[in-house]
Amino acid sequence: VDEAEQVPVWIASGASVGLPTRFIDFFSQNPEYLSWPGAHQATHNALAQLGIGLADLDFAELYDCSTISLLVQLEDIGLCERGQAAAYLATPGAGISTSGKLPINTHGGLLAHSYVLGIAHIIEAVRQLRGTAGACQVAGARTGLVGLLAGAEYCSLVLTNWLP
Amino acid sequence: MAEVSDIDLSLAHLSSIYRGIFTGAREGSLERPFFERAHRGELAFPRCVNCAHFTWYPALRCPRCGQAEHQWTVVAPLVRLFSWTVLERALDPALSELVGETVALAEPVEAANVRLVGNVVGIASDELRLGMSLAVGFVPVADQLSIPVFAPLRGGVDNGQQVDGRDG
Repeated sequence: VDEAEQVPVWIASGASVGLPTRFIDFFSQNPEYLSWPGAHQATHNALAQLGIGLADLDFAELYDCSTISLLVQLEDIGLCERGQAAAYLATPGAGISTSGKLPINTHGGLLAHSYVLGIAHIIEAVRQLRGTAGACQVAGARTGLVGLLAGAEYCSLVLTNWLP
Repeated sequence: MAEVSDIDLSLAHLSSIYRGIFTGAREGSLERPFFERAHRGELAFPRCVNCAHFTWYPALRCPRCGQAEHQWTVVAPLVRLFSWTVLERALDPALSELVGETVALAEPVEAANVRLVGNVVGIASDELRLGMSLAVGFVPVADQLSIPVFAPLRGGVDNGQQVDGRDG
């Protein structure tokens, strides 16, 4: 076993929010397309359990099943104002790259990495916290958020390499 | 009352394509009455007898009140454009004839909680505007079955709200 693989990573907190759905739930009949309401509540529940805030995160891995779903999560979680996600990503010096203000989807996300649903986001978070993410490594990463979007449900995890 | 303008050639074109690929609406299925009524030139949706909600897509129970009884209800063949996309490529070669077609989601004016999928015919995609009014026409796709398409209103293009397609 590689020495790095023995570095413990803690599931420091987690929260899941499930919203009531109708008996039938077709995407084309969705009353709301520009928000995943569970994202805000689950994320901030998970952060509150640790007594930390968004500013304490070193990186985030957010489920990005299409381009807009990441943009919507940025707004829902509160990383930027409503309607400003595209501008947020384009702002020089802000950004989501490994040297940005809050690196997001450091493995490239579903499109650039692979479409194996949320587990790859969790694996990437573990690699970041073990310092084994290679060229994608966020220097000194200690606390990471994983956001898992599933439509009516949203699950957030905070992973750490320090014991909460 | 909305009427479809002179788009017969476009409809014939789509009809030949969809006759080759339409596989939906088996006998006895919940959705089959929609296509049967469309073949008679009617836009109809199942409406909850208890609370008047349109249950779309068809389901055994009303998603709003939970009651089981529905009545197919004819509404005006007039919709407002909610969103659209142009098919740029065919992921399945069987669909290659559809490349270049515009597919829309539209909300029937008299069934505002419904969003209907259909091709847009008779108008260029760059002339489409969110919320604009379109008429519903029907394209035969199988024996006794037709599907809806959206076309400009007779007498010219309605520019709609241009702000928000969900005013219903």
